[in-house]
Amino acid sequence: MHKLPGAAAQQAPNSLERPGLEVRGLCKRFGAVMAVDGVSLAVAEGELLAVVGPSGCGKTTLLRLIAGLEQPDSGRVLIQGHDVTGLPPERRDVGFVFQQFALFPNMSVAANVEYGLKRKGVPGPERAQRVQEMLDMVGLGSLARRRPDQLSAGQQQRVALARALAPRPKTLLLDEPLSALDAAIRVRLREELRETQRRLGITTVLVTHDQEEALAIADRVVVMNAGRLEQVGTPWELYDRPQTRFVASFIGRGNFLSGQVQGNAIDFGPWGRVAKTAVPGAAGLPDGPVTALVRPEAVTLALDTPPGGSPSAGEGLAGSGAAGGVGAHEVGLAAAAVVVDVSFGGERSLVKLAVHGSPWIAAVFGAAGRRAASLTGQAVFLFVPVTALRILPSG
Amino acid sequence: MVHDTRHIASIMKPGAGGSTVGRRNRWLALLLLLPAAVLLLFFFYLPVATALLEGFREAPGSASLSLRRFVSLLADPYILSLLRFTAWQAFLSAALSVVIGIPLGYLLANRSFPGKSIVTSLVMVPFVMPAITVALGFLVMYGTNGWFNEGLASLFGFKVRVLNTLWAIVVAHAFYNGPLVARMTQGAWERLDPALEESARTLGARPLAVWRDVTLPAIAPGVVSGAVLAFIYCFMSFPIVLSLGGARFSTLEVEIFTLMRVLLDYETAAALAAVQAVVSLLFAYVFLRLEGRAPSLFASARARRPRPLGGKARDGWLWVCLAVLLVFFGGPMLSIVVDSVRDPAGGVSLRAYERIVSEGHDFHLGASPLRTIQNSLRYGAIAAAIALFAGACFVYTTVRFVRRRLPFLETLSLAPIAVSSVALAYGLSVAFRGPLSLVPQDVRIPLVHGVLAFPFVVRAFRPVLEGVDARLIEAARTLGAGRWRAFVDVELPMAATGLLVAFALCFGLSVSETTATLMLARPEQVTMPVSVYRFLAARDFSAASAMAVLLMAVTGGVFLLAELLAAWVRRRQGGKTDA
Repeated sequence: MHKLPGAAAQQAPNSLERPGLEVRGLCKRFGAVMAVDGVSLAVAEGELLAVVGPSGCGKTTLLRLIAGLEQPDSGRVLIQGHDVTGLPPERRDVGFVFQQFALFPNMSVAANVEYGLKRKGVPGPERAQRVQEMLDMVGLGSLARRRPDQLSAGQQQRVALARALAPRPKTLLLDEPLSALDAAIRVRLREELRETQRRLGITTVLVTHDQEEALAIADRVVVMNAGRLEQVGTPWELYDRPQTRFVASFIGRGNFLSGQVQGNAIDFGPWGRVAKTAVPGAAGLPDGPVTALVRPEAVTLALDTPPGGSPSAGEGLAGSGAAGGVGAHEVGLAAAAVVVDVSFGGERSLVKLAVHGSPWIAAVFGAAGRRAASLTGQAVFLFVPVTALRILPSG
Repeated sequence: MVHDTRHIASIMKPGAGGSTVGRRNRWLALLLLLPAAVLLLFFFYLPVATALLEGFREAPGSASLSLRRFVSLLADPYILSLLRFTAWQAFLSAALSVVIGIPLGYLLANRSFPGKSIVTSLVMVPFVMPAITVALGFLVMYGTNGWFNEGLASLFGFKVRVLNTLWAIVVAHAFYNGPLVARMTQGAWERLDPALEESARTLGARPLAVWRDVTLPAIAPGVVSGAVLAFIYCFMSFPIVLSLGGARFSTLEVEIFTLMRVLLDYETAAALAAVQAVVSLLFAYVFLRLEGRAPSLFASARARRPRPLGGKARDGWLWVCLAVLLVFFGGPMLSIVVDSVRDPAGGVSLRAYERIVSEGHDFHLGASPLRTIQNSLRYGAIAAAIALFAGACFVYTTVRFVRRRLPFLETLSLAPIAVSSVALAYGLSVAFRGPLSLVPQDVRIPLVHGVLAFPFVVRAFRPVLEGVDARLIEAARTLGAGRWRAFVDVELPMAATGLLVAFALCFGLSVSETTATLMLARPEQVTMPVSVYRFLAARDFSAASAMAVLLMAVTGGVFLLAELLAAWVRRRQGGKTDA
């Protein structure tokens, strides 16, 4: 009953009939901590799946279980339909890129890339050719004889990727591959990474704590919390239809409204009441407490109409707006807000507000950011269309 | 940087940084502990237990045991004064070692100069010099007509008595242990994050305040654990006290030796050895606890870059320290060299060397001097191989499979340095006549040396292996290498230089070991330090000096060779291009 369309859509992209990678009921405990707690997941052939979550949520352990660097307490790992649960890492045919790259310091760049080919028994001449190919692919063809410590962090990351891909593994596993890099190069390398992955069509799992990175390059994103999957879906699904308050606050920014379902209406306290049928996905809600999410860009600020009269008059107007859209084209929630601060962000600025005593955040575009900043400390009108409310099914 | 984050990761996530531990690995871990267990159990713990058991017997040969002897020993004012003096001289020696070790450690950690790697490797030579050689050097240097007093007399017109005083013992002990404290201080200093000192400066701290608030707290654990180790050695010291202290001074170990070898009172000797073992094991445990706490707190995220040693204006005080250290360490060694080429008839000659390579001395030594040199080299190589194999397997298990520090197990592995070698040798001589009689003659001495060197392998090899990031092994495994293959391709090359240095240390320790060899060696098994001892007993000082010079050359040469080999390996790994 609480399943939203977004939850059903997670099976949609590509074919999951015969997934490139699948884990079933994986559990791993470290002492008293359940690092991975009953995780089941399928990754389509050629798909890039990103796993995000706060540090300590178990995402790295999940990746290490897939690679065979840890043994699960229970559950299974399947790569292209073959059960590899009991196999050591060297027999799983995975490529792994470590957070700090873990390049062998006692070998040259070329020897690092060649290492996996040697272990696979690829004959010498072919090896040399493949090493050159891989290094050319990541644009480091001229640095083959260098030692890893003579490279920049970005170059080291590229070598680590080339090394992992050289033996043509079935699955590519990336453990925070970009977190050791500067912000600017991080953005460029994540585009390169995505391009390479798409060109090779390799099934990939990317673990990151950076939700922006995940949303930018993944086909689908998994949000993990305390060892469990919170939600799986495309970046847009996770952003637009988060299932839990945790996902809603971890992916993007948001404002939260507490309400009470009473019969055919939802009562949002000082914001007023709205009809249940007007709110997307709220029709079937039983009576009881409910939380709604409002994304910052769904908040409309009336920056150009000066709020004539006293703040009390403004509140009266907000109340009437909430009561059912009297005098408005659109049905929604309205309130008077005080501009607290504006953080300028180029094409989009974030406006911090105080509404009914709680902090709110609204996104404004272009020059509106400067206009909002000039109103700091003053009252403005705020409007949220009822169609922009997102009910969080499980709190 | 990599090292640091691995450390943090391993705290935050129990699984990160380690390899998979399954049931198969548990068997492998036990198998790897086997060499160390066999070595220590049969050639250390059982013989020592046999020896110490004598102390608990009601009467010699009696089967009933009691603590009676301990009660009476600890009530004996003579024994108590002996215990007090042993601890007091050890304390003074450790203190002087710290005074010498800190500037030397500072120099090695914070300044670069030409030939630094050679100096670094030679710094440990005094530590592996046989006590008898050090004693000889001190006799020549600080004797009534030695260089030191001749110098004083010509400069100030008076002489001081150094030999046969407490100070002779303390200074000789510092000669041994100063380098040890220096190395541990250097280690702590190199780990200290320079950003901590810099941030203190930017917060307004003057240099002295920086030293007090940041530097000292950071290096203190290294210095203190070095001092505790020095205390243990000096607490156990025996030949130095015997030869430089004269008849007025005696320590527990000297008393044990006298009781056992002169008075043949094994029971009292055993009881005293037990008391001594308890005290020094207690200190060994303290040492390990201190050391376990030391590294992580101030660990560096950025390498410390030593700056070049400056001129007199900038580093003047350091040059003064260097000059003093040069005289302090170089003097006794140089004295021996000079003494060895001094012709009794006046002038310089190599006659002493001719004598020690001729056959003429078989009578004192039981074997030709050339044979003693051969013995030393052979025993050194075998002992180093034994200690290295058992020690490296032991360290591998504790670092890769156990992955946390076990102070109790480590104290057990450190015990060979904390137990009287007189008692050990006695226990072994009993065991070799009884249950261990099947052990071939030729490996008996190397086995004993291997036991005594084992704790040093553990100490030297552990930080090396800990420095090899476990994720490199994981990377190799995801690239298709099995566990063994990953070990050969990644861990072994990266640990190679550490193993070389550990080998040299073991070799040096074996070549210089005197007490146990003196008590266990058959006539044809005499080694170089034993022959120095025999030459001295025969009052042939120049032959003793010549043999001692050869001994120093061998140990110094091995250290130098290890350093050169290590440098070669590093260079080769640096420029390796396989594709």
